Amino acid sequence: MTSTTRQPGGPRQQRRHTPKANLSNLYQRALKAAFFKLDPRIMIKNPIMFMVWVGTLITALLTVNPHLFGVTETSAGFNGLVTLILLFTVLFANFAEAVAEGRGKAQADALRSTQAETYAQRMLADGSLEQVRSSALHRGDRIKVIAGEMIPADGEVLSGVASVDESAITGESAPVLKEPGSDVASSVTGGTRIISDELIIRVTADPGKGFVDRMIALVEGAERSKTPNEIALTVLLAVLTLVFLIVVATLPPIAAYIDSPVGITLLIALLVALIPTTIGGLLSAIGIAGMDRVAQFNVVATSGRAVEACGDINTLVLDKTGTITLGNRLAEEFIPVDKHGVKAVAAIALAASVFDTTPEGKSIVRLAEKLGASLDFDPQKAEGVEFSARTRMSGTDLPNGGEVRKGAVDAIRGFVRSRGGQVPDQLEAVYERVSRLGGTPLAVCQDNQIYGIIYLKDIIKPGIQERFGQLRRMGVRTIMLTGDNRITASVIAQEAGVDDFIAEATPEDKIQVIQQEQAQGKLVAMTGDGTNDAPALAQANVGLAMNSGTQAAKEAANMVDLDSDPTKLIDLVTIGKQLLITRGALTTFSLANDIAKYFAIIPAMFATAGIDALNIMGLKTPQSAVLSALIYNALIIPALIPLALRGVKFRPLSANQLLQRNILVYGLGGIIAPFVVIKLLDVGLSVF
Amino acid sequence: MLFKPSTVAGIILFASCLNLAIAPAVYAAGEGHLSRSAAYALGLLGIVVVGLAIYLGLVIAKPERF
Repeated sequence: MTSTTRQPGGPRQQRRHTPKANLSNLYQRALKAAFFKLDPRIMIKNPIMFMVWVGTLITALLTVNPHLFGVTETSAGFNGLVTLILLFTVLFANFAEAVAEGRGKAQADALRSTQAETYAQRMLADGSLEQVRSSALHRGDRIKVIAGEMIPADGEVLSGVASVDESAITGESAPVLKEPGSDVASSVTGGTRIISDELIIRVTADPGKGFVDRMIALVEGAERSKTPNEIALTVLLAVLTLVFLIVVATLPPIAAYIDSPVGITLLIALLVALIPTTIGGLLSAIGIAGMDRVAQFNVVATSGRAVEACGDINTLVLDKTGTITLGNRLAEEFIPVDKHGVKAVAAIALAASVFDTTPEGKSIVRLAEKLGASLDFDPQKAEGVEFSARTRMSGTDLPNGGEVRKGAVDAIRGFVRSRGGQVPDQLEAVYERVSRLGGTPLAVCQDNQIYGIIYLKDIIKPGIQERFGQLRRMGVRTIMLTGDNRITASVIAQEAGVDDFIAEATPEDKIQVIQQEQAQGKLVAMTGDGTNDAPALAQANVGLAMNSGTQAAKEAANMVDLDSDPTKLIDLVTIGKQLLITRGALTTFSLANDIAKYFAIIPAMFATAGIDALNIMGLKTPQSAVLSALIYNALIIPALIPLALRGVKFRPLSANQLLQRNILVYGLGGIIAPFVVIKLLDVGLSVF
Repeated sequence: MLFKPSTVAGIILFASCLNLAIAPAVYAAGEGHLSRSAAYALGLLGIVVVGLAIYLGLVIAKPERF
């Protein structure tokens, strides 16, 4: 292992990996696609724009024959201008969607380039190897990959230990250690490369079904189905459109009654001005751009629904080690109790950690050896005892029948008492001292004697307090789960700024916490990487699995972080909220625009009915008023494309503050902006 | 595809037949101010508007299809 090799889930730079997408000719391609999308079979999928499309056809007919529906005052020229403006309205909406899809496709192509077809060495039942194409591999196949070769498919390490370069997927240049059996290092992703040694891997995904393939499908948007929020918004917009359609369709008899007949062109203009074309045209672009943002953060989501759920999260359940703290707890000190010395504690600690392959175990071995401790038995004749969440200790059964253990203080107490030993009086004081420092105390014993405590130091990730503060302002509650004792957990929780914590937690506690929160009607998100996290990941509304975790965890979760960074959940909550806020902001703006358009078109329609007082903008002529309103209606769509794709700037505010801000900026702005622009357009049109 | 070509042709045929009943009513309601062709065109327009209303009703009832 080189000095630059990092453990999975370890510290990562504060940058996200953006695949080098080819965005050249994006706008030209989008322009072409905008025309192709005029196909009625595509237009019918967008109810609002379909209405505008039908209106365009009717006004086009009226351009050819202005008296098609009876004698009217509107000329062919005016009808032609209206047709042109409505056509541009539809084209701009199609263009917005095409730009978003184009960016997604470019990103997908960049990702696809990391999935080059390659050859793999498949292991047959008799142990021999056969060379096959990577596309011929299926779930369950065993393959051998050696140094220098690309891993051809997603899989789980069965044997071997190797350094893997995951930069093609994550952008992180430091290689990652992969080994079997561990909850944090046994998964590999197709498209990554082995730097040293070799691995025997069991393929866990059929061709085209790997994690990067799923990311490509999500980013491309080809099979994107509407999310619950989008469906709800579509229903709202359809209801509004239906109401306006009924209003406009029933206007002619009323207009005839007051001796102010209205032409079909003006009715269509009024309908198009009133229906929420701005949000109708930008809705799908917002959704596609949201999925792109998730992919840019190197997260594979199973659906847009999962991303949206992130935005509605009330509670975040986080592990302490590796999520809130740096995770590489290091042995800092051996503290003896009773009459034992530091060297004796070091010797016992070394003996108890010789089979421990975790970073903590290795740091204990290093510290013990530094203090001059050595083994007085042959490890090959001894037997390791693995750590389990039940026993909360691990150790070694010695060749002479002795048992050395290290683990949670109360677990070791119980172990020693069960063998007829006594617990030293000082133990409690040392335990509390270490806990108050925020460290993890591990007691060490041999048979019925406790020798001392190992102080494992844990460091809180820099900047985590600010992130939790942000979440709190957004109304998200954080709960820290840890197997540590109450005092350590309390110190870390206070320092990190979490809202609540559960100490001495078992895997069952995770599910229980999630169920308790959900029973109160809250949405819960959690991260996990181990097989024992799978039930909790499945139970949570948003489950984020680490890519370095086990296959069981990844299958149970609805999102996988290719960077294996548990704090990514905080970014996902932000992205989810930003998606919802962007939709809300543009919907507010779109509906607020109607007020000005109403004041532009209604006085123009009923010019002879004596309602000039409603012409508050002082628009020159009825024709210029209608054209100005329609031109504004068309131009506002491309003007808002950058905002739709980028998303409204995220601010960690409470729901009330967000609503107030939304109403002020987009509501009031949506009322005022069209008044100004329509007037300017009218002045410009009057010049011609 | 949302609608098969045979369905589209069927809809057009149905709309045209319906217009045969509606257009004379529109013509009569026009009290002589409308020409026959305008009456037929308005009848068709009415059918299109009703069709759009039904389409929007479908969007409201089954939004996941859109």
